Amino acid sequence: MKIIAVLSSFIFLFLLSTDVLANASSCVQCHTNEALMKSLHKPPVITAGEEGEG
Amino acid sequence: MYKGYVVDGALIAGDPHFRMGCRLCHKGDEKGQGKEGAHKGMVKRPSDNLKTCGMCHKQIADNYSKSLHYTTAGQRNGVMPSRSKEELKTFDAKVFEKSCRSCHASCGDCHVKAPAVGGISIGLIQKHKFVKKDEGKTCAFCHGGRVYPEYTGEYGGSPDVHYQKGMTCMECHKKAEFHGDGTAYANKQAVKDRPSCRNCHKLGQEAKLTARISHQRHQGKVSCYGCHTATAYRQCQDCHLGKGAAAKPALVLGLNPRDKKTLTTLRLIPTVRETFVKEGIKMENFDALPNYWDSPVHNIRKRTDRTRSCDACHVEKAGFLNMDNMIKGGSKANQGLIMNPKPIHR
Repeated sequence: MKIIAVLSSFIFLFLLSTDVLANASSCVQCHTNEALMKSLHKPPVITAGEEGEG
Repeated sequence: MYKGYVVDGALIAGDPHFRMGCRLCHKGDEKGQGKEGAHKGMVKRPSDNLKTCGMCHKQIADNYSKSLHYTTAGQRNGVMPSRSKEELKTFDAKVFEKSCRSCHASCGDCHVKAPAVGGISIGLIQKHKFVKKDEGKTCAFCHGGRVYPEYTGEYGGSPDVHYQKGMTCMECHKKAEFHGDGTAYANKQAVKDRPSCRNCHKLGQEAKLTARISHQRHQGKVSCYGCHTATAYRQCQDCHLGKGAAAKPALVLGLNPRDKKTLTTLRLIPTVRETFVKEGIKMENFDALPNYWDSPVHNIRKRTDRTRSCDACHVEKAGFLNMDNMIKGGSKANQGLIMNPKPIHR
């Protein structure tokens, strides 16, 4: 029983850490903030070349 | 355009793609300060490397690595005969990989972020949701010069009847066609189970007797497009590496270069003799290939000028390629595509 409880705790903490990892990262903090994206975005410089397949 | 970089926070909790964090695919530095710090070492297009998605979707990634949609090999294979062996080496190094192949589609181009064309992209398709399909934001971009606007009617003329019925690209072009089956086909004509009108429209089951008779008479001689392409479609001239591109609408009927027994709709491929001169390629065998190629034009209608009257083709020869309307200075092989329809005896 003790072994099962310990293993379950490890698995829970692992899953929690991955969720926390995803949510707490600066990537998510910035890219889920529309106002911040608007303030940081710079329109790309258009160069000739890519035309698509047609 | 900034909205194209906004991710839906609700996806983070539920979508398994986000479980291991953004760095799994995009690298970069999550703890970096500011935009520059966080983006240091970032991979903008992680699915350009098929192994990224292949971590979980191995079979699809393996198949896709040989798919024409990824390799664009059909473009290269198509032009090979007009280059000498030495020219082909130069073409591969200086032109194909840098220019033609820029059109290859990564997994993300269809499932995550709309492809950029001419430097313009609307960004994430649905806020970084991994979508199965969204043709209006994917197919329509890369194929937005010719096929898509002809299909929707935006190019002018009538829209394709299939579009009016609510059919999008993938109603005919199935997932297996894009992902591939692991076979490195030489061109799209060789692909197994590629779309065919007859998959849905069976011969011998036409509602009208006149249609049935007409189909019987023209079977094996005229493609479906030859009669059912509704209006003129885009013909591009003078490729941009040459004098400067120009485009105008025209319906062109001629013999299929791949099957000289069949009349079909032809599209002008805008390559001139001087197109690659700057790269040191003169195209020594330019006349080996025609400038017009069979094109499955996507503006189909049941009733067209050609289905209403036999005279449209057999008397007026409307749209038929001839020496007068052929491009000037083009390949000598173009003449082999001219077809004079037989007169009708009444």
